[in-house]
Amino acid sequence: MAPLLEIDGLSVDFAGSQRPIHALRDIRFSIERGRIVGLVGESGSGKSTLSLAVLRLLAPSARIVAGTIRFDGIDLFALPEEAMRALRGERISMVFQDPMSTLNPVLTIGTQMVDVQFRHADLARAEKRARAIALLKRVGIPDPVQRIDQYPHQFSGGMRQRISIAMALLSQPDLLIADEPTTALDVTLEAQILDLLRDLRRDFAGAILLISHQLGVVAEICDEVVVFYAGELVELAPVKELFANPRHPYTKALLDCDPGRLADETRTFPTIPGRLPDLGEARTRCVFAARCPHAFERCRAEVPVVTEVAPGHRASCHLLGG
Amino acid sequence: MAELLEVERLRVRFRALSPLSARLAGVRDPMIDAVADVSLSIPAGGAFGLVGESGSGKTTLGRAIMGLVSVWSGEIRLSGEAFPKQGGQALKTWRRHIAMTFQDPTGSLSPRLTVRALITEPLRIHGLADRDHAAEARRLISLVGLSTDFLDRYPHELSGGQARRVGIARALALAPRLLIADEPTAGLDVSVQGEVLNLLARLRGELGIALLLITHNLAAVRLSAEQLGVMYMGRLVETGPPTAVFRGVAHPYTAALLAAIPVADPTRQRERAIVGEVPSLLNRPAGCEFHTRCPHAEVRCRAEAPEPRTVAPDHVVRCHFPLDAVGKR
Repeated sequence: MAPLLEIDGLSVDFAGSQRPIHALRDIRFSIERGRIVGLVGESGSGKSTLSLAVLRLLAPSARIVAGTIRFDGIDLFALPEEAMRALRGERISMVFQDPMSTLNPVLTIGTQMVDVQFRHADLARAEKRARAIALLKRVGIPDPVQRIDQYPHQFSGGMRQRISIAMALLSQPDLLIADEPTTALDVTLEAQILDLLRDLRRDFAGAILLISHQLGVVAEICDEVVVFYAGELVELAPVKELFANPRHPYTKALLDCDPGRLADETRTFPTIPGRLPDLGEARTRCVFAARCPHAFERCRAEVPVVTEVAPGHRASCHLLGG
Repeated sequence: MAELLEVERLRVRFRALSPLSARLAGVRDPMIDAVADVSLSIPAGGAFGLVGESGSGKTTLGRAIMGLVSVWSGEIRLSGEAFPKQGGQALKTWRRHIAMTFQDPTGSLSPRLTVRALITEPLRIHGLADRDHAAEARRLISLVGLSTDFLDRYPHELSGGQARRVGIARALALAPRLLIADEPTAGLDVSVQGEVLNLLARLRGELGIALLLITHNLAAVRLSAEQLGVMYMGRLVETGPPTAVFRGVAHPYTAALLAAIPVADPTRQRERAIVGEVPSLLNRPAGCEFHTRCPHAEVRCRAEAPEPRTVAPDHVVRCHFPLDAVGKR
């Protein structure tokens, strides 16, 4: 069976003041049904650009330079706007980082959850409301029958994020994109949301693309991990393989920075010296070369090709002999 | 070592509801204790890490020490001198010795001022016109590891990590003895978090400055503070050296916080998260305030508030039934 989402050679530019900014370069990966795929990278690595490209919600200054995105076999870039709009929210849903800014503060949760089902003309309002209550219950909102008539500000941050997840699931989407869904939450609530996502996948047939800059979050619930650096996919692997055997020096450096992995005696936190390369530059070398402790001449002269180092494990690094 | 900062039985109260809404909501006491009976001390040059969930009172405690919110009862002393009750010049002097960096790194910097103006503003406010401001600006910016090119930039031209550094430079302008860093790593990439924590550690070493680190990042505290305090509903429920607390956690709440940290190891199965959320400060649970979420709560916990007890040298916990060293009863 064809994968649910197939990103093939995607490159996205943003208009810069002098020259275009290459936000994504030649991205290639796919998501199978029923999987949770983690997308990891630091600020500016292109994580959000990718999710917006999948939803076709990129800013007007963005330009798709090359590549295709296929969703369930449909070429998203060839789809008329009307058909794309039907897909969005219906078969592809998104959960954002800040639940306060995605919920309308002047409408009750119930009104919003009923309104979002506007495509289902066949359902009566009472049925839509019942579905909303059932989902609120599913995501762990206590007393959903009473609380559905409350406003977003009457819920805590963790509750609001549960509500936005419930809302995203109302349409029973095939693909749920969760962009940093726990970043704004305390660690105890984060753990609760992660437990919820893990439970949901049991009765939710679709796939989840989880965007995070936290490796710990990805390790907890994902099946596969994609690592982005400066707009490029540098490594992709099944989750256990990636954490046990990272092959790209950037992935290794990122893992080393994780404070949870440091020994008690550590007094200096590891960092990644240097900074992100200029995203306006043409692609002539390894994107991580300037910060890589193992960089050699070839890294500064030639773009590495993606090498398959193990089944399902790819990395783009000259050290892998590609 | 002499104590630099001493906080004794500090209580900060806020009015949460107007008298009318309190009656409508059926709440008898509209006042909440944001900080309830907190005592802690930091020696000169020491570092105290304060952790807890949102709304636990960490930031309010920091702001009370700075004199930004008024204290209901209790004492704050700096090098033995009591917090100035009358305000005015005495408060201004107090704030020369204690500086604070705020949570939102860019939002706490005026967008209309250059970095140069921002980091020398404290000198002007405190009437230190005689100092060579240009030289001070260069000294401060290099102290936090940025090049002097940054002096002419505006806040919107800074990355999150750079804005943090500028905030720290500004806090250091008056050579304080205590720096209160409120969530210095929030919102930063993991590699940049390390840079900021390393910078704070270096400044402690070079300037002998003490640090009150307010954070929800437990891993950061483990390696950068000598003393750890865990707050729950405005109360310190566990204090001790981080290594002691991490190895022999005594309070079930601290244990739950530690268990909740996502670990970058997919082979490890995390325990289920603790259930529920922090109760409302308007309706504090009777007895031990954590009993509503505590997996080990017993009858006594629902009736009687636990007093602080020492479980190991320097390791104090407010719990009737502290966990033992292996994390179990």
